[in-house]
Amino acid sequence: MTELLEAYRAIQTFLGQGGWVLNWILILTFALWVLIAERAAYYLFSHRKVFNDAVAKWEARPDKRSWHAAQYRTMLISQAKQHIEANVALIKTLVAMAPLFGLLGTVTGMVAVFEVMKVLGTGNARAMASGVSQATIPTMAGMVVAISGLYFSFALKRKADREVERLSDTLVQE
Amino acid sequence: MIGRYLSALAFAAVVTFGLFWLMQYLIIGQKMSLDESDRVRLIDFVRLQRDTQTETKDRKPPDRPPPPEAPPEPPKMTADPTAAPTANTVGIDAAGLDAGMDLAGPGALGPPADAEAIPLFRMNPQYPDRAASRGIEGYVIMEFTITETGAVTNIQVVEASPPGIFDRAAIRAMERWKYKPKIVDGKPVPRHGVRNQLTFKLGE
Repeated sequence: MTELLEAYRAIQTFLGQGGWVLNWILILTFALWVLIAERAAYYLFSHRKVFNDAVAKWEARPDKRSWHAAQYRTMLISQAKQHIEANVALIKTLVAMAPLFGLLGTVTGMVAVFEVMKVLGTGNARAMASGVSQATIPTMAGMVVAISGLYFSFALKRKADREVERLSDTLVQE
Repeated sequence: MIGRYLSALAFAAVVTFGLFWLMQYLIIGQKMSLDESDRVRLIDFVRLQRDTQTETKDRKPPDRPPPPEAPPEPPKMTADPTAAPTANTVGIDAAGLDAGMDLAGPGALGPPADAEAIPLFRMNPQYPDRAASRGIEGYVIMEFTITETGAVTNIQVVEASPPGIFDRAAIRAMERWKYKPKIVDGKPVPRHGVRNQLTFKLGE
């Protein structure tokens, strides 16, 4: 427990060093991982039910040949797709945004450095250090977040595409 | 659906916490490696004790080279400068010079009265772009007057091949030429009817 507290305090100091952009990166990370976890939970627990519902509705239909049937099938696939592909695009967007937030932190940190240089001149390296850490830490944070999320964003996209395809293969038109 | 998001929130909180701890560890890790350097003993580069003994170097002056021996005395003159020369004199007669020279009058060596007009300054004409792009070559013969100052005026094209293409360029160049004016009785006079040909050839 004490170690956890210690880690929490370390993160607090870390956030303090990184400037306000780091807080935004923290929020972004949290949102990104909420969405990733939601997707994982969906595929683990709910996906089978959605899939089977669509298949059952299709199988219950006696007419599978007419134009109406084709439209009905398209509707079923679209409805399932809404569940399957939910948040996937958002996850990709958040992953792409993370390094950009890092870059934003770089720029604001450099501005802080120049601010210090304006007042104290270039001689005071100690005063510039806080600005430099404000510039570099968000950069690193953005990259770490992007790296951590990149694999999942691709895997989820691939999984969603495959599941939609599988559904449309299962709903056979006669 | 909502339950899914709630569990996701918890999971995401853990992951975010982990990620940020990892990030700060990335930074702290460097600090720790710096701390370890405390164990390394620093070498004291400042030498407090100095050698007080100064090394002295005995320097011997180099041996003087022995003074050169006295130069040998010049040989004594044995001849008597006051004695008169006793050699026989040789009589040489001046040889008679009689080369047959047959030169014409002084006028023959001077410049001919109506020498070719000599340009002092030539200006190369500009090759017309139209002709250059079509690969046309040709020449222009012009007749003109050389004034007392050597300038060229009153240029007229006598012959041109092909006609009309190079005339302008040729005249323009010709106008800039400078000639040596004709001098009659020590005074420059204009010379009429001088002809010159400018040839336009495409180089290489």
